Amino acid sequence: MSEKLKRFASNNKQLLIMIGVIAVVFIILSLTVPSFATIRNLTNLLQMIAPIAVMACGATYVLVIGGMDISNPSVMAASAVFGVYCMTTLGVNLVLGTIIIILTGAFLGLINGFAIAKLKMVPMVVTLSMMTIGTGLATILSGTRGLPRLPDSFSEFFNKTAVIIILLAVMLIMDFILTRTKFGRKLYYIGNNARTTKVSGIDSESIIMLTYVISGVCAGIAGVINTASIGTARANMGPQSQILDIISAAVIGGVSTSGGSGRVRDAVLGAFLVCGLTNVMNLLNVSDYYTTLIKGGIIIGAMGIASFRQQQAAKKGV
Amino acid sequence: MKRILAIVLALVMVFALVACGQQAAPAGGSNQSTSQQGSAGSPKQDIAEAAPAEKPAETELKHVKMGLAMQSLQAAAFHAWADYLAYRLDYEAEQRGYEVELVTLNADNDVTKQATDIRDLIAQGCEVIFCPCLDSQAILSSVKEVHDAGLIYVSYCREVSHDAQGDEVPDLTVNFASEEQAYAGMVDLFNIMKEDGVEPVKLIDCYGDKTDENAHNREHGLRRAMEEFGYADLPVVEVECGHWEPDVCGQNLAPVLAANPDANCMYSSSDFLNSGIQKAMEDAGMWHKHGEEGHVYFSASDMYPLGIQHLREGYMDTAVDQGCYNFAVHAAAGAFDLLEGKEVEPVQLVLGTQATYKDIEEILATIPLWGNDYADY
Repeated sequence: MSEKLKRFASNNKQLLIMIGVIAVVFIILSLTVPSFATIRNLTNLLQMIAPIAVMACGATYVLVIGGMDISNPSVMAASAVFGVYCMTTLGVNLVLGTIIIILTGAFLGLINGFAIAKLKMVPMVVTLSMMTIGTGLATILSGTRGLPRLPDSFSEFFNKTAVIIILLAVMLIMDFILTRTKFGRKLYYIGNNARTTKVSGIDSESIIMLTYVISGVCAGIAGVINTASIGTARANMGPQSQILDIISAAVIGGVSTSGGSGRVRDAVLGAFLVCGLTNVMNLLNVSDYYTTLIKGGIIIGAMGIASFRQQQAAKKGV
Repeated sequence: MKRILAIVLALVMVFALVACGQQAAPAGGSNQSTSQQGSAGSPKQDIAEAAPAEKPAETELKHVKMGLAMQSLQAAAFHAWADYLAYRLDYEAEQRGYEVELVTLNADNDVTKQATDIRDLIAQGCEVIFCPCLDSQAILSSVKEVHDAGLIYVSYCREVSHDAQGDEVPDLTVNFASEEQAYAGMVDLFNIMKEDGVEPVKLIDCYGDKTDENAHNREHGLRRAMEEFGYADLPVVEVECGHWEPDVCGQNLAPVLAANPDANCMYSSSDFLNSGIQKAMEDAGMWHKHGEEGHVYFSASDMYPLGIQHLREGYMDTAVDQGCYNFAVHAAAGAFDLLEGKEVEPVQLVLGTQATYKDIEEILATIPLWGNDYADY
């Protein structure tokens, strides 16, 4: 039994560290901040974390193959705006509209994937361009006065409970695919050495393309969650600065920016730490003048530790 | 070792946050040294007013927590809204025997974050939530959430969409008399043009933000003034300015100026946009003071520090102040009235001071303008 525990601890160091940190922070905050450990605040927190965490799941896949997708927030906004446009202006029903939001994310992800995998373009440049396209598309479709609101039934269906279930489902499914399937193992191979992967007969181009599609799907799902939160969609619902939260969630969760390692599960826990910071600072009434400074400092510190650990592991050949 | 380091980091993080939370400056403290003096609406006058003989003893003070969900703190006026509100809430609290705690959050122009911020304020137990909404439609869900929690929603310096129904309608709206602002400024501008014997040929209209009710209201005010002066058919060239973005405004204005060199008058929804407007007009060779050849008659709303400067220099002819301090006066009093179960006028519109290039110096010497409090000069 103790052998099994040791093996589990050795295989899940990152998970245990993340859970330990979150638990310590949770206990301290529960004891020091009166309104922290309330059902209302904790469900608010989960609802706030959900879109970032879902996008961090997609970002994890992309990072694992050694890629980079900085278009996520814009793709999220563009997908949401297009879906809401279909529902409110073209009369598409809410179920189909929700599917359209996710498919739009997938389509924009496919464009990213095609340009990167088939046309061999640089991921940063492609996704930076997609960021601009996404924002432009969302702005055009939003129209000059913004899209009308959706019926209340949309927000009622995607309520806090549903959002938490979606987050758990996305995390479990994507973590399972990444760690327990052939497809997932191929992603790690590509991240470790793309050339060797090609030589060994793996169709890396299709896999890279599919990875960006998955990242787009995640952005679409985040779009659905955000749309439910405000009852409509807007071009400014995905600020470009949000990409820092997404990527840092993954990196704090132990996902390597150079590819080949990381887990979806840990990236979601990273999102809890990154987004939790905002909630905690709100509850502590930290002046806004300090909020961004503290948040940026903590993210840099945490990413520095993650990077240091990765370097140490690389030295040891782990 | 690494794990210990991670835990230490977390502890440092929490203690740093707690420390910073406690270090938050007392609400409105900075306004005590405001440059406003003597006149109506001056914070200094309030300090004198706030010394009643029967001030409640400190032990009797009722604690009340309120929240302010700012849309952004990127413009000087937004700081003024937040600072003056904090100051006036303290003032009202002192008068009525309360101790007020104001929690201010900043959505940083992210419409979903503003919704989250409002949820955080509800979770913190704020009894009144003030909000200058980023998006007049998207905010309606949040207004409903505030009401569902049994709390008071004050739409502060912004109006929610006129589509609001039932629980989506704020308990109190304190906003600019934005239509009147534009109307009064344009009436002054057309009168000056008449005095100078200049007939408007074409008007350039810098439309601040097409998702903001204040921008729409100002557009109505502009049109009303045009109709009143018989200029209903005056050609109007509209310039979109993103979401009150001076650089976007300047970029969009440049080709408009190139295509319409005959335009001789201009209205801008806000002189916050003036940095972009000035650059575009300088590049087009159309930035001239009143009285100089080629001067474009120019009116704008708000009276930001740069707007005041342009009025003083004669590049701008007329303007109407935002009246930021009076927003805070009305919002704070209304919020406490609502808290005490009193009835309030649900929509309170505030019109600021009117000024022209001719009387700006006299106004600055006699009336406290918010733009002067936040100016660098």
